[in-house]
Amino acid sequence: MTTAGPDLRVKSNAHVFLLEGEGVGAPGLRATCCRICGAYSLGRVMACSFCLSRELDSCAAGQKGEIIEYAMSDHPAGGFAAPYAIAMVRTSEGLTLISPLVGNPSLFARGAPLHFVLVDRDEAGVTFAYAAGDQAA
Amino acid sequence: MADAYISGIGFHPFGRFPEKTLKQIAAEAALAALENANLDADGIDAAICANAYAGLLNGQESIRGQTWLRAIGVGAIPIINVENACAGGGSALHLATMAVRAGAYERILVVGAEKMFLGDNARTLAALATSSDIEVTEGVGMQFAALDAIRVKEVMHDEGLDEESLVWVSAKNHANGALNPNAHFRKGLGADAIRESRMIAAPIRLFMCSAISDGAAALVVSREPGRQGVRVRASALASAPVRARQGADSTAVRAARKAYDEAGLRPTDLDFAEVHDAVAPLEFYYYRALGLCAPGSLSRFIAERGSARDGAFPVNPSGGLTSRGHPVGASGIAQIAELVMQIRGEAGARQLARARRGIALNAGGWIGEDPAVNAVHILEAA
Repeated sequence: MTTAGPDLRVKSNAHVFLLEGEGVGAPGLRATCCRICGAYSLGRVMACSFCLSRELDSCAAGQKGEIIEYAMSDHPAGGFAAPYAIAMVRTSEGLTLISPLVGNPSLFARGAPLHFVLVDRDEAGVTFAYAAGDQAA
Repeated sequence: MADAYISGIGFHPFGRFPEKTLKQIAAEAALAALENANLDADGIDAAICANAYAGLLNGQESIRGQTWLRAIGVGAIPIINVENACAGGGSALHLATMAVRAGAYERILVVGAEKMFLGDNARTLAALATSSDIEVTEGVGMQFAALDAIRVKEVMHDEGLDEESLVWVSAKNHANGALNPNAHFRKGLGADAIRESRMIAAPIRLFMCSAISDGAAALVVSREPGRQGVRVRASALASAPVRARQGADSTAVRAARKAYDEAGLRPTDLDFAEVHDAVAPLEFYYYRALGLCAPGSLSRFIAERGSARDGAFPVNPSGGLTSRGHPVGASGIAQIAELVMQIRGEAGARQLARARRGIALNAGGWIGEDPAVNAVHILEAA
């Protein structure tokens, strides 16, 4: 029996998401969890966004979310070839972020459920995105 | 506390000037503002200079304002450099207004300048994208046109707007810009040309977008009104809220509220506005934020052409960022200069019939769910 080791791929963004082995609950968004009020803040924060407590833990979050609104870009940017979809996403923990969307564009709509995925982008390394649906197939 | 006035305005036209340096562009606007205020280089006791990307795009870091103003013989006085993304100009004016009102300085030169056209749009767009929290947006395909498309779609959904309203507001701004000798685009692009231009990020098309521009604008902020002074009735700045704790009011709503409260005015007390139409349809977002029309009434306001030059409340008579162009550090100053020209009765072919009091909203950057900065100013005839 083999044991899966940490994910050693190069990330396109060193701060906003975690690969397997990089934190409890990873892969997912990098988040900070407050031990006092239980709220999540996106990324590394020094004080809880809700209660300003400094009693914080690093954690992974955002495995599920929904589309607030999205747009299909016909102009390449940031290494993404056009056309590509980009969205304002709200995670189940209440985090809000900008994220690329992958998968069938016919499933992209306001309020559509999403799940967190990792995407290999060759020279650009691995990035994160959200895909339509509650969970990976 | 004393009043602060805009006693001088100046421009370097907005457009593409590959043969000119940023220093030349900025210096021309600064000289024009001093001349307009009947001053020379020794007539000011401080300067505040706004710029966003001279480091990334032109190689000039840190002491940008000092380099610009040395070219016109200005030195020795305090020169402060401001970076607040596209709201750098409004931020610089806010600082100058506070300083003059407090009696710290008599006359402050405020200059906003940018040189963004390098013949490499990808590099310029990459620089623009750094006006977000790069720890969150790097490597995720962040571009402001797509983000603006998302914001426009939200307003369209909330207010029941169709794509023709986007075409109309874009054509309005291009028609206004055609009358502005300092504008980047003066062709007066009509509805058909806008409707047929290529899609950038649906529903935003090319001719709905502001352009990559070079340019500069400058003001003299003073304790005395001078020959044709316009009073700064309110100067307000807000940052993106930490919504989790500070509530759902947007950056724009917060800045506008502060400005109205400071001035003791309501939207109905104003005559016109200049707002931050990085893409023309974003005006709709600011109609609501500034209280120009109530939520749910936007479609009627647009159908009645309320924001046209001859409408009930003209918005962007200058042509806005869409047509005037968007050299980032200069745009906020250019908005103020337009307000001043209108209030003075100097706007030429685009002069509004009623322009005693105007409001400018200058937005910049992105963080969380909001623009990172909004600067709102209310100006009135002295």
